[in-house]
Amino acid sequence: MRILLIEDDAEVAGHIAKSLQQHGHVVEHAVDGRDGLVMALDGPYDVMIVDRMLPGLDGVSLVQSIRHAKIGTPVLILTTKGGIQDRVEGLEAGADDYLVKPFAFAELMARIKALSRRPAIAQEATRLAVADLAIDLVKRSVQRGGKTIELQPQEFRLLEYLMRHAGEAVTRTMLLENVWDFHFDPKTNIVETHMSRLRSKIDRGFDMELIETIRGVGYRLRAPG
Amino acid sequence: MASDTVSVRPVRFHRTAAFRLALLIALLFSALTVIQFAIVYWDFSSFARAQLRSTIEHEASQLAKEAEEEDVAHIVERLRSLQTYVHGRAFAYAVFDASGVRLLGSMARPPGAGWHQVPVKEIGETDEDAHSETAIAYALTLPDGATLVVARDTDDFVDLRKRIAETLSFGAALTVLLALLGGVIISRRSLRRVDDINRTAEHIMTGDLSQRLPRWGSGDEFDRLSDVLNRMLQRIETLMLDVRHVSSDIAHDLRTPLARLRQGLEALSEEAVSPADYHRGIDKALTEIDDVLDTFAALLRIAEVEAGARKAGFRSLDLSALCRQIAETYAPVIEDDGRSFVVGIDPDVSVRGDPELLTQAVANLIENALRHTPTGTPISLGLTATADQARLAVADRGQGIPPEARGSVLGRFSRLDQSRSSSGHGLGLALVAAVAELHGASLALRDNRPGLRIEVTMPTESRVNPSVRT
Repeated sequence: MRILLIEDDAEVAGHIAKSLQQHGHVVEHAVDGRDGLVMALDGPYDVMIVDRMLPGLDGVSLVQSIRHAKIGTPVLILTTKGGIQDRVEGLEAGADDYLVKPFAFAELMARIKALSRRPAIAQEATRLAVADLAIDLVKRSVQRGGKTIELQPQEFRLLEYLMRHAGEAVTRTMLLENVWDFHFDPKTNIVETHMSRLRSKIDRGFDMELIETIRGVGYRLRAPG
Repeated sequence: MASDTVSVRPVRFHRTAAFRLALLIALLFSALTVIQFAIVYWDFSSFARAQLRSTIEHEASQLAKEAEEEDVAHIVERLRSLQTYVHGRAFAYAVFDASGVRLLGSMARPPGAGWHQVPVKEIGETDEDAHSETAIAYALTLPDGATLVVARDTDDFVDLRKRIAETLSFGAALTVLLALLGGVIISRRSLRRVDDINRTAEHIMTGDLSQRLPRWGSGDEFDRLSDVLNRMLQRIETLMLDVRHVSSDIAHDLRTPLARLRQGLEALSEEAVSPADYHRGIDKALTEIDDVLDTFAALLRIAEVEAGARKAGFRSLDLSALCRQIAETYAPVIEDDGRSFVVGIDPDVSVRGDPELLTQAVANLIENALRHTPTGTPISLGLTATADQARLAVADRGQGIPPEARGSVLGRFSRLDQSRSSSGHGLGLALVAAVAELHGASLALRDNRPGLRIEVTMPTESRVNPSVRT
């Protein structure tokens, strides 16, 4: 992937760029908002990573300008404070996701991957299927190998999110934000508990376990083939 | 000397606002007095003049009546004898015959009929006799063509006027003097009090926040000013203590994990032999660092909530649905911990607020109950609504909190067990308190007999009944 990184902190930018390159991505780096905007408009990129606080032109205004120029490239905004206001402003300006600094690289990688293939599954799809697992978003029904499985509403939402990101690693934070709309870190194992219940319903009695745990990152719904 | 430490420059009283006000009032009073006195003076002198004229007129008409019966020569004789009384005489007379020849008096020529102002000399008085320089004369023509003149000097009139003017000026002077005196007294009094306040304020500015402004006990505007400023000082002092307290708490709270981290890394560098050892050590260090970062994130979030900026994002929301979502989220966690979870939520409770913050507040309350009570302890979540209030309650059946400690657990970094063995950064309830405050909600910690019951009571949004809507 070709990634534009707009970040003024040289050390942070260096770490991010190195990690992304190790994962086989091409990284172009801008150190201030104005340069970043010029490069973004010059494009094209698969994903842009934009710091919230930038010299020259701040991240939120930059995203606004990009969107104004009808550039739809997915944008991940990096916020330092993790304040609610920063995130709301960033998303309102047109960013697709946000990440609070400091973050684990696994988190960043997972999010970039999720962002880069966003439009793969149409939001309007009514049926999702992975391997022998199929869910009907209208009827809210789940079937695996022809057998109907009863799920609680939150378990269904969790499964839907996993299926929309089938084959990708999703982190605990991504699940909290997207499934539960929790934008804080609960001190209890909400994700683990719900995941284990979902697993017992989806995978128990089947040869292949579809939900796998990726150590230090999160979970992944296996997408065979 | 006080002036060594206090830089308040003494204010001379003539520069004070009170004195200037007094001066202004004195000027105003003087102007009013002068106007008033001028009216009195004018009124009085015109009255006196009219009085004088009417006396002269009366005398003249009396003589004219006599002239109808007596010979003019007789009258002249009689008047001549009266004329010799120079001092104390009432009137001066002059008579001219029809051809203008003077029969009596010292006037040179006969004046025309009517009123005249003539010099006193003309009516036969000398300057030494009179205080006034002019006299008033009234001339009338008798039936035989002779002219009769009755005159009178204006001594009494002038004297009276002078007397009035003197009295009035004395009164005006007294008024101005008293007004100025009052101004000086008032300004010195207020100056003294302002000086006291200034001196105390200077002391406070040098760092002694415990000082308070003096009161005189009279309950006047200065006392009220002192009261208000003292309340402000009280608030500032509380806030300052809060800040100091929080900073030292933060320092203390962060030193522990950082010290642990350092120890761990030191041990790692000395004892680790295999890559696996290093990996384990690094993972442990990362966990410790995440703890510290969590604490910072929580502190910043509390600060953000307390700053009140989120209020702009308030919208009307279904608190019942929000509570149901949280109950659904936490039910498996609570049940897996061997606890019973009792949920009772009134439907359609609508409030104005920030859904994200309210979600976190309720989640914090539940997690607080989970963390501080032993496995197996029942937990309940309730939402009840009255006409205009919603009461959200999270209760447990644990050991509870002693009444005397209930106030302090809402502060930052409060943990009941000082051993700090329990997990969590001690900021959960502080955030709940901040969120409650932002939403105008009251937070109460009650005895659940046994256990702790935390109630958040907030105003509901007036429900619009769709069937009543027009």
